[in-house]
Amino acid sequence: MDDGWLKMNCLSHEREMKRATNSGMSAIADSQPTRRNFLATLAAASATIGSLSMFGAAAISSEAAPSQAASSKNVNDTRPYGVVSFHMDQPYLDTTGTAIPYHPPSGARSAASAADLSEIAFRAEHCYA
Amino acid sequence: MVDFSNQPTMKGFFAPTRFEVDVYDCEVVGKIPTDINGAFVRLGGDWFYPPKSADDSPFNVDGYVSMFRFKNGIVDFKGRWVKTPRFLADRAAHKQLFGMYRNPLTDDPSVKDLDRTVSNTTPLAFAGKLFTLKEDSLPYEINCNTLETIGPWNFHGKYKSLTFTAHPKVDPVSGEMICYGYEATGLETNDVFLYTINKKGEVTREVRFKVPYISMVHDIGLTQKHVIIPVFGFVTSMERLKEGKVHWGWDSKAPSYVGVIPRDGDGKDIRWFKGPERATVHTLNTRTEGEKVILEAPIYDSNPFPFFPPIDGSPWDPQKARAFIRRNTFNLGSNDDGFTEEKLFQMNVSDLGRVDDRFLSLPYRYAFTAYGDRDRPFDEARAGNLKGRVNNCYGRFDLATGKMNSYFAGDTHSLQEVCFIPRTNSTEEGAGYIIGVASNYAEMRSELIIADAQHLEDGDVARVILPFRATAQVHGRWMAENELPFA
Repeated sequence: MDDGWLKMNCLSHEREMKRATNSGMSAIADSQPTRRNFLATLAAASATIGSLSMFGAAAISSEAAPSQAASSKNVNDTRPYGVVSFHMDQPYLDTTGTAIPYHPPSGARSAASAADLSEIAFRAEHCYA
Repeated sequence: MVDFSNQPTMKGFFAPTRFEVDVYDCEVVGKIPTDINGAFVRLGGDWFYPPKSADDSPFNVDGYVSMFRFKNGIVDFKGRWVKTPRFLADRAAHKQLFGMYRNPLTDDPSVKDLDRTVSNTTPLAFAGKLFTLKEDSLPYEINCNTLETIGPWNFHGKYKSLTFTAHPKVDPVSGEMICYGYEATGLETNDVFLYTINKKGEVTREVRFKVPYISMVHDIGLTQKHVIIPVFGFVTSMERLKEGKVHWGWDSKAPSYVGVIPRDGDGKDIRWFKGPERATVHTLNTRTEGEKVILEAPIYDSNPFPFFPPIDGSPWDPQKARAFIRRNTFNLGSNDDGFTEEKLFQMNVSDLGRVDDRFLSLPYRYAFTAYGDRDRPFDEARAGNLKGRVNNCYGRFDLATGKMNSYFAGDTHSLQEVCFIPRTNSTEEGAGYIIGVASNYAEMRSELIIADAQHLEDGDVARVILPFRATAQVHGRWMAENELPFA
């Protein structure tokens, strides 16, 4: 799953890795409670108890649809790390891990160019946009 | 060299498109109703070369006409520049030669006395011809099949005004067109020429009068007995032009006037009513009831356009630049020049509203226009944050009951002007379809939506997908199969 989401969403993880490497703590860094490590651990544990496919699907499902997570205690309640989220188009790091994780948009965000324009600047060019 | 990189407002979805286009057999989601045959013709603009001045008006943009051609459930799309003398001169010079909006004193000397219209406001089908209109010049005739520009049209030499409105009215009863030109005898003149043109395209009547002050007379109202002429706060002078300014400024102290003239009257018969600061840029419909003339329109409290700034140097006020559907009643039996105003809906709307044109000048019930519903979702992660500046709904406003029915375009969309298509073989008001172009900011494309005007909550009947951004529209008009010599 080396997709853009993991790369972007694990910046904090990469910072942890860098810090650990610089201090000679690579072994410890590998065991940091990151999302990647958590999912890997979860998958392994599930395989062990012989219910990998069903439990794995449930975990992925609750990540993809955070609104459903409230009724699914098994993942979010144990998330011990921060997530990058968005509010009013501004990114922020939610250290409680309870915010809706940011997923790179599939959209072109083609209106974003106007986000920083004042009302007068926007209406001056796009009065009937 | 063309360079738009220093135009901060022309980025992303709002960047110039800069191409002519033919798309055959467009992608359609849903099914095109079988009784929609004809063309939805749109007129707007796209800067071919950047404006000479950063504070120029977007109304100075080069004209671009486009058409969704409907035939037996198939839709083709075509787009062409309106090739006015101005456009051709710019192309030959490979740069922008023309200065501020309607200020020829800011032009390059090489184009002195050239027709400087960009013909970018409203398409019109009349007397078997297709025209593009802008209020600073004559109509430009367009080939309805190729959209190539033929040239200016003066109705066999009988139309004497130097200008022609972007909002002529076609009487659904007589088939006549009532049209006019302001600044009719030249720049900075207060003359208005009002015309009646019959179904064959022949001028049958001309009336000349003067306005209280030179102003933008952008739209009028038509009843079976009267013509209604709003005049409001935009002012101009030769001094402004000599200072290199844009044609209009806003004078908040200028009263708004509304002229009422009998359709069979002369210039001396016009009666001017006077009111507070307002801007009636576009009208919905008007009618005469006994001694009362009634105008309904989306009316602003003040200046809607920041690019025509207040002349006293005060800042433009966005809070007053909101349009509300209002009713103005003019009592011809009264002895004073006042009139009454009612706000019919408390929500602000786009002032680009339409009615079922079969009821123009007649008693009617429904108006259609776009508005922004902030309670609807907007997916800013996929579309980008426009800070709520979207018209995401079309509304059908019932002027009899005050009820409003709503169509929602989607959580990444903003809607341009709505248009109404009557259902074939129906005479019931509002029986038909609403049609209009939505900007999809997530997919970076334009979509033509078609919805049943009597069942807006049901959503689309069909949606025509263009795989690109269509040039921005000011006005669009539905032109039925029998109105133009379509191939």
